[in-house]
Amino acid sequence: MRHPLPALLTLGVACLLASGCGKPAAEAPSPPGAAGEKIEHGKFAVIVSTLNNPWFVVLAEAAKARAEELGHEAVVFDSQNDPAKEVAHFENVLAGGFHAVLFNATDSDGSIANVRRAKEAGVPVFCIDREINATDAAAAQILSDSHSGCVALAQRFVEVVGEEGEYAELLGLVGDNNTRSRSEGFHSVVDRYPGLKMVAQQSADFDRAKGLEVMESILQANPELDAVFCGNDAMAMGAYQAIASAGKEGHVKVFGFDGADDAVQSVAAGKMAATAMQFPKQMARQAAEFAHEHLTQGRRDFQQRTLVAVELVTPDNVAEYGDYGLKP
Amino acid sequence: MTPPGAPRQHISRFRTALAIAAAGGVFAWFVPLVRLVPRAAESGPPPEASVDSVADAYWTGALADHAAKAPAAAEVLDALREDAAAAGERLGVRMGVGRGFVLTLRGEGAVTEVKRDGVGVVIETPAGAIDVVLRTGPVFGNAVRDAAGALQASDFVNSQEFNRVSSALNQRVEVNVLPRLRGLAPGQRVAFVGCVEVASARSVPRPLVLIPIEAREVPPHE
Repeated sequence: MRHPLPALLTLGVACLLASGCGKPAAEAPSPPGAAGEKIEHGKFAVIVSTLNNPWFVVLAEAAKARAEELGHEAVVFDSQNDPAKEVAHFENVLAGGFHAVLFNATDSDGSIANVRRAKEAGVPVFCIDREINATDAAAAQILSDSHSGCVALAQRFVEVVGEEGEYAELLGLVGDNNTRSRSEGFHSVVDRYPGLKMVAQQSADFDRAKGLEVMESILQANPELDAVFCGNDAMAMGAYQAIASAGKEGHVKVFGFDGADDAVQSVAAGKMAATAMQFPKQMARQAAEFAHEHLTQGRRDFQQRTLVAVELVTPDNVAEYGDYGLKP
Repeated sequence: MTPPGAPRQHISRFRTALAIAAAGGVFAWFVPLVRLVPRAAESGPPPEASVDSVADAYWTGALADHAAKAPAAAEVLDALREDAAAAGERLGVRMGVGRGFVLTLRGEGAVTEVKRDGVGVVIETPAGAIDVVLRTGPVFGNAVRDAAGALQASDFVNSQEFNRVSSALNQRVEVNVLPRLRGLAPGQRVAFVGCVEVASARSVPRPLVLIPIEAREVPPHE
């Protein structure tokens, strides 16, 4: 007679597997408000990619300030451009009873899992400035129209530099949709002019110090350079510093993106050729207001993506801009 | 010969194994090692239509309908001169958040000059002459995509896809419309529908540089 033990062990394994079928995952405890209850005074987490860049400091502070104006507590978390730190922040937020997240992602794809986890826990996430590549995770995404901004900037680039010349491009963080959008927007215009040749393209991680270092190398290798396009103003300011140190200011035109205060002043002073204003305060305030409506009014019908227009800043109109937006 | 007690040991081991299996099953019911979810529950939104198919449908559908209803150039230019912000609200299309808007207008007039990137056209109206430029160089920006207000960023998986629709539509202008303008000479008449992105009511360019979405030469006897 056959030994019954193997059959019984098989039955046991079958029971183990069958126990996973059809049964919903154990539900995490719902935070207050997840079941539709209105919350007048909530706790918001402002998770920002980095506070090492003044532009993101403005973004975070504007989000926090608006949340507090609307009657909520707000805490800022700095991911330091590290996806692992971002994961840890989300874990702390979900364990810490926060009601909403105002979120500036480190990675357009890698950050999706964090947003989904928050959603499943009943904590809505409102993305600011940086997009995630999912339409069913964030409650809403308030984004700069970076591509369009760079199309406008590139048309200005061609007007200023001409249809022939050598230029370099400094890219932002790899894996960030903004890096891709800005570069694609720029090239969608400039690549139509075969006389304009890109002699160098390198990432400087949206960082001023790296922008300086990368630009120094590019200048040494390309002494005839006519212009540089930088994916953000921090890199542009670093690049300008390198150009000035090399005695080439006025010869190498510098184009940035963001509308940072020092860059706008540089355009006004005739140093940088142009930048593009992104309105971080407007985006941050909008995200806080959406989160407020979600919690206090139960609003759920947000547009998944709201694009905030980016405006070209040149010496002709720079007087309209300052303090990360339009002057009053 | 079977030793005495052997069948009882066999039954005892059987009962032990059964108890272990049952206990394991009960434990696993409350703490499953895996969770099998039907495929339908995890399916996301249906696949997005390709950029070209979206552009084609918009070009022949919403944009064509919008062009058919475009106001006359005189009405648009008069409104801009009187109050550009109000003109943007009444006649323009605003996408997203910002000061800018897209205008569409139709007109017919005489070619005044032909440059590398554009054709100057003067439109005679009872109130006076209106000058516009029809762009004939490379087409950039979102004016064509946003003109009808029918395509939204939220309809696409990410903003890059949305931007590719702009590129696809701009290419259709370059292939389907611009060739009709490049052979024109000063004095010839042209009828057109064009659109333009205005960055803000404070900075309306003059003359307006329009991206033509429809254009045809008007024969002299017409």
